[in-house]
Amino acid sequence: MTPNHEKFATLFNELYPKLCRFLECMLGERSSAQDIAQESFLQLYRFGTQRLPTEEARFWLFRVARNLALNELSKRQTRLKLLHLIPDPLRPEKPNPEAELEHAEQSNLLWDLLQSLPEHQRAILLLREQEELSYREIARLLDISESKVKVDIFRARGALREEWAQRQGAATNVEKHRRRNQV
Amino acid sequence: MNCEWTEKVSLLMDGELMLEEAAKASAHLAACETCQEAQADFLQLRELVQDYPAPGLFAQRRALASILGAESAPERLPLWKRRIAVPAPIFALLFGAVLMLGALIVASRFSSLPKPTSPLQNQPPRANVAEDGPRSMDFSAFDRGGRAVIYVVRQPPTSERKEKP
Repeated sequence: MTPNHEKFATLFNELYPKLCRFLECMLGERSSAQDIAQESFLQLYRFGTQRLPTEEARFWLFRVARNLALNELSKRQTRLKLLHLIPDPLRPEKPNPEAELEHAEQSNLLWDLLQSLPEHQRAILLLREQEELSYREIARLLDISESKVKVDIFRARGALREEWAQRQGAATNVEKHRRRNQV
Repeated sequence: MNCEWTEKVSLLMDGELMLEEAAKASAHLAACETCQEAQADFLQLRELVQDYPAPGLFAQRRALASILGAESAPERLPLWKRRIAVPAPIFALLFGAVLMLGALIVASRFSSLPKPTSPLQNQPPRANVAEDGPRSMDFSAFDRGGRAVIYVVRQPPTSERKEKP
């Protein structure tokens, strides 16, 4: 392995798991997340790892990955809109069996909770909670103001808390109903 | 339900308050149940987000190999851009063969054109005037060697011409 490859491999092994985790939570899906993570690293490789110190590379990667994730989410919304235009008999029953199976296997509460947030709030919250970036670093990475970061994090936490409470409330009601039927 | 201090509690969790503000927020938190419940929920959600698993090592290694492999491989040019390397002698032979073929084609085209004909071309050479008689004037008797046969025509005297009917 050449020295350039070694440096890149070191950076990759350190940041790939974190980037994948961030993207999976952003997209709610594993395969797209891994594709985008790979594309982000490929762009970094072509840009040249020797041009950036490690911390800058981290910022660069997350910025690129987040933009690619937003593009992917936008495409999904367009596909959904187009799907709704198709008459019911012609609409495919299972558009992506693999994604459905993946979702069924995961059945992750976190994915469901995060999908209830707008994309920008989701990204900010994930960067804060998973990557432990400061508000200033998040603002720099996303090219927004620090005050916007403060407001969005608080709103995201509040929205997640409400969503979680509703789900727990629904689960509690289901449990009560089940016990009533058993009796 | 949120207290007006709940946002400060959120900032306190992230260490984004100045010392003085942090002290005030901590003091309020100790006395406010609403803020305590909010903080507990926020921390539980943080744990849920942080506990999300990273991808396995197999996927990681495969991705790295894919990136380095793709970038190390020589770029494959499209067919029309590829140079076909031909050794020089073979190229010279091919070139010579093409030239010869072209020359043959041109030569065959010229040979197939109709040749200009002459009314005299297919006629046999005439015999000498000495055999035909004194009145024949036939300039077609150029021989094949291109030599002209000179005819001498002898006219009878005037008196002899008048006597004849």
